[in-house]
Amino acid sequence: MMQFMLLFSRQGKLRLQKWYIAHPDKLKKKITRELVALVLSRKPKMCSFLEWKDLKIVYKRYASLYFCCAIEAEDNELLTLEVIHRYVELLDKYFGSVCELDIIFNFEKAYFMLDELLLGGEVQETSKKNVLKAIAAQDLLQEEETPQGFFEDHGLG
Amino acid sequence: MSDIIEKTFASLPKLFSDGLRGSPREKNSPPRKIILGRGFQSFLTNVNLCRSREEEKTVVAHELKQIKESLNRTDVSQETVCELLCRLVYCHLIGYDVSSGFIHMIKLAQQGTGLEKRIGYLASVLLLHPDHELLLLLMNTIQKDLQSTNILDNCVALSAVCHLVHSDAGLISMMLPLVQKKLQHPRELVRMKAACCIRRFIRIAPSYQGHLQDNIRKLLYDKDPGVMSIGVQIHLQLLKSGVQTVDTLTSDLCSILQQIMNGSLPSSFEYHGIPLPWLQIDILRVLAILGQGNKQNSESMYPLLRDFLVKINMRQQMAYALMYECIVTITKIVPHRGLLKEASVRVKKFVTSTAYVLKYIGVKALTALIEVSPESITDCQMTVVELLDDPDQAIQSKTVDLLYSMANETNVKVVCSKLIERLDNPAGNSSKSELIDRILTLTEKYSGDAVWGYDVVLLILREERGSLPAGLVDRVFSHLTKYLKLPTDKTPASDVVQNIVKKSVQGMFQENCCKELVKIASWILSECSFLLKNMPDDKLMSLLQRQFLRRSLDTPTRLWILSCATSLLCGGVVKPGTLKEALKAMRDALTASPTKAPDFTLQQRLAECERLCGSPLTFDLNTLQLNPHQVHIHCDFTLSFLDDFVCADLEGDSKPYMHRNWRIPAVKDPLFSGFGVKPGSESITSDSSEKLTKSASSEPKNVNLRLEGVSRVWGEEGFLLAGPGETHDTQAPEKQRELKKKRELAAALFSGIHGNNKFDEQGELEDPWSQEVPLALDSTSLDWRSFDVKVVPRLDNSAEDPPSGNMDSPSRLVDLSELEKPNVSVFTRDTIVSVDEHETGCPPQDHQSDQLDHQSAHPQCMMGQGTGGTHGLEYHSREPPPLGPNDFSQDEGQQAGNEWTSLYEGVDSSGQTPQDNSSENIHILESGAYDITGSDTGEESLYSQFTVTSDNEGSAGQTDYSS
Repeated sequence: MMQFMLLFSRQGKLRLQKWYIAHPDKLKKKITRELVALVLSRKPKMCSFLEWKDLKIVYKRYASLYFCCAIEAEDNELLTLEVIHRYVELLDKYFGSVCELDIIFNFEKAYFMLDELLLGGEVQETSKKNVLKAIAAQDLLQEEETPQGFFEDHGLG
Repeated sequence: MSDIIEKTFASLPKLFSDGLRGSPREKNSPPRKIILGRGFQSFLTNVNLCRSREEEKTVVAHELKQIKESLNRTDVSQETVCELLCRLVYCHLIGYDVSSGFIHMIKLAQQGTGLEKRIGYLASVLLLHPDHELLLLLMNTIQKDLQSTNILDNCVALSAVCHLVHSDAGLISMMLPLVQKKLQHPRELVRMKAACCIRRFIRIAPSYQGHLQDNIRKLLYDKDPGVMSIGVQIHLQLLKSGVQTVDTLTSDLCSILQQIMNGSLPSSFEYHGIPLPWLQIDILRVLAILGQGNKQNSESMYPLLRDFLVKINMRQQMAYALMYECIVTITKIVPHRGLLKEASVRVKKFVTSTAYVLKYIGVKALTALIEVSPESITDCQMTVVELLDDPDQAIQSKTVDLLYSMANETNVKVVCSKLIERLDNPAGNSSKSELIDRILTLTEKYSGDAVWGYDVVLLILREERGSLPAGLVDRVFSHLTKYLKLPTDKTPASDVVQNIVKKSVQGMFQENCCKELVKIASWILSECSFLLKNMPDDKLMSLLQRQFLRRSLDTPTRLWILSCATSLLCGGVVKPGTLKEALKAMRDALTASPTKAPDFTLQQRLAECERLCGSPLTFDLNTLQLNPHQVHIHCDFTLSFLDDFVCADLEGDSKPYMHRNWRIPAVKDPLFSGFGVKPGSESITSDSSEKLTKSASSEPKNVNLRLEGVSRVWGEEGFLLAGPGETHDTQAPEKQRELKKKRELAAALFSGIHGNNKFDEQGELEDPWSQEVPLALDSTSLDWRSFDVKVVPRLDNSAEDPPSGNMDSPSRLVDLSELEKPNVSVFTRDTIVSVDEHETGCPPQDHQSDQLDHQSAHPQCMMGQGTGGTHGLEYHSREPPPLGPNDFSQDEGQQAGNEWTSLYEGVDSSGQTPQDNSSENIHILESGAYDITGSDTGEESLYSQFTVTSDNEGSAGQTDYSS
């Protein structure tokens, strides 16, 4: 199970955080600070996995953003890398060549997207198409109330 | 950094005009409303332009104040609330306290619709700790939304449930019926989210699976692949906690996997050309659990797994993830030779890959593989050796895991040396304690060579470490006890013990070692004090003294040292004079050092030791030639022997016995007993005991040495006695103190010999002396006589072994001081190098050693031996000694022949006749334990009291024996 996911910039500024385990805010801040420093200090040619306390940290850099996940001992690191990649793909598809600013200014969208992909720290929807469909349905909803036959149109029926 | 931000924000206006999403937007994506207005953007800009933390703080504080005011207004629209909440979330993200807005999030989730509701939920989930009390308000909303007909409301509520359920079983039972209903929802999106909730519930509280069996089974056969894959995950979770719900799970999953591999599932679930990789991995994991130790299940998987390995040959990370998972499955199920071979081919590719990520995974896979087929490592041993020196910490640590799992009888020494090397690596500080734990486990598991195992312990402890596993000292003790036991096979075991003692002394020379090392070494020295007979006692004492005076040691460790000193004294190794001097020095140093609080425990123990030194060790052995059958205890529980006494008293002016409850006025606080306030007025335990002793001494027939025990029982009954003219009322507490003191003394005496609780039993004399003799290494299990038999030849042998005789040992022993110098360098990094080299001596089937041999330089090896020759003491030339037995003995012989004989002398010179040894020890022991009468000179009242009692006891005991 994934314990948390952090997105931060190359300067170490936190852009997004999603915690799947309950920690008090203080601890969260401490963990974040330590991990950001740790990951930023890694050289580019090193492997993307780290052991940190009893967790495994899987991180990957996309442009100026680091995606960093903490998983448990029995989880598959490569698979987590693919989850990160899937998330980036989704963001990219949604925003159209996503950049850091998209995530800063539309972070609620980034969260909604993440919620469709991962739920309770585990992968929920593995189909890219389905995630985008769900997000599209939400987006349409904010314009108008659910029209009759909307879900059928979008393949959700 | 700041100019990057500046650049970023210079481009902001353009971004805003472009609708924030840049130009290359997808044409067909639906138009989206920008919910976050200018206010939010300018706030972000302001915050990001701040040059210092202080500036940021003021900006954010101002902003938070404004947000709070706006939120509290009644006329604020939901849209504005949305935006304000987003600002709050951002403030929270950058680390500010936003608790003032919590209630508004929940309100928005409750009252809003569509997007507003989602934002409300999002903010609540992100900002509120699941234990926050305000979440109770949200529960109501969630329940309402779960019952709504709007599927998006359902979805958002289900997501919230999934996030908020952390440990609260109450929440689960509240939500369960609603979530269960949603499992039947016609839309797969809702079903999937509901299934995710179930997965979460079961993860937190597996006991709920009983209520959910039907649902779980249905999920596995859902027509939607997404829902089905969550069903598989739930089964995985259940299997991990030991529950199996579906009997045909193996065949069902195999057929699902077959279908996926054949590509018969919708292509929308493909990931870079691989169909449903997440589901595949989950199925593989389930299969691994199902096939574990189950031959039938495993056999049904073999063909499938082989197909799987063949088909997954894409050069993609996801394919590698699948392959890794498949390899792990193959190693978990009942092994199949062909599959393992296939797997090892692929693992080799992983390990030799240039990509770090794959290397890492490869090492992990190899670790799993090696447990079932150790031979598979033969192909990649070179790579593994290289990986050990990999610059990447992550890979190194995985390689250490690998080493640990590949350890066996032949290579354990090399593995341990590598692990120790890793321990000294300053960079990887994360799990040193775990690493030490592993090393210890290895030394215990493959304990063919006890001396080596002890060496490893010494190496670990050679310098102070912060993180040691709990119970390390006890583990080492219990491990070493096996070897310090009396040898059944005479000579080799004795060698082991000698070596261990030798190394303990060496270890004690180190000024900066761990306190654990001091503890262990003092324990061993006191256990085997007989081997140190011919060590110069002043040297030994100065060694102990130096350790004792180290600042960094704590009281328990110092107590260990004192115990060791006491044992040495009792073992006749150290003369009382020498010990006394050393103790004086210790005491002076203790009192002189400006510590905050004086350590009374230590001072007390020091005083005891000094007293022990002061007592002349004279005890006539002849009086203790006892036969066990003489020592029968007769317990007269009716205390009939007191009848005369009681009658006499009753005839006098004393009252008869009354139960405690009946004599209200007479009872005084027993606390004041023994202060002699009203002598003889009350029945007091101490009084009675006093009486008893007296009567006991007068009636030797019924006496035994357990007087104290009897008197105490009596005293609790509130035995009433008249004490006319009981002058030694005041003696009573003192006597008890005496007894306590005596017990402490005994404890100190025998602390190293497992004998500290034996004092009372000594009275019974069930052949106790033979057990308490320090020579008997394991006093509890071995008889003294059996020791005799075995010791004689052993000591003879060992006396022949070293070239030098006993006679010149004193002069040689002076060399001990020189030993200290080389000892500083005893534990150097060289040791590890030399270990590798010594691998050359290992049997050729050890491939690992072959490699090491080729790799490491022979000249160095020569050098190592050379130094060993010159220094004589060069510990590291055979430390840890992975040599063949021949090598070792040769090496040893050389060293013993050289300067380093001194300690040997001490050791082998115990080759005086064991009878001598024993008698002396007994003698000392007796005197230590019993002959305290000699120690009291009457200068202290305390001790003078003691004389009386001990005299009594002594006479009582003797009369008993004679009877």
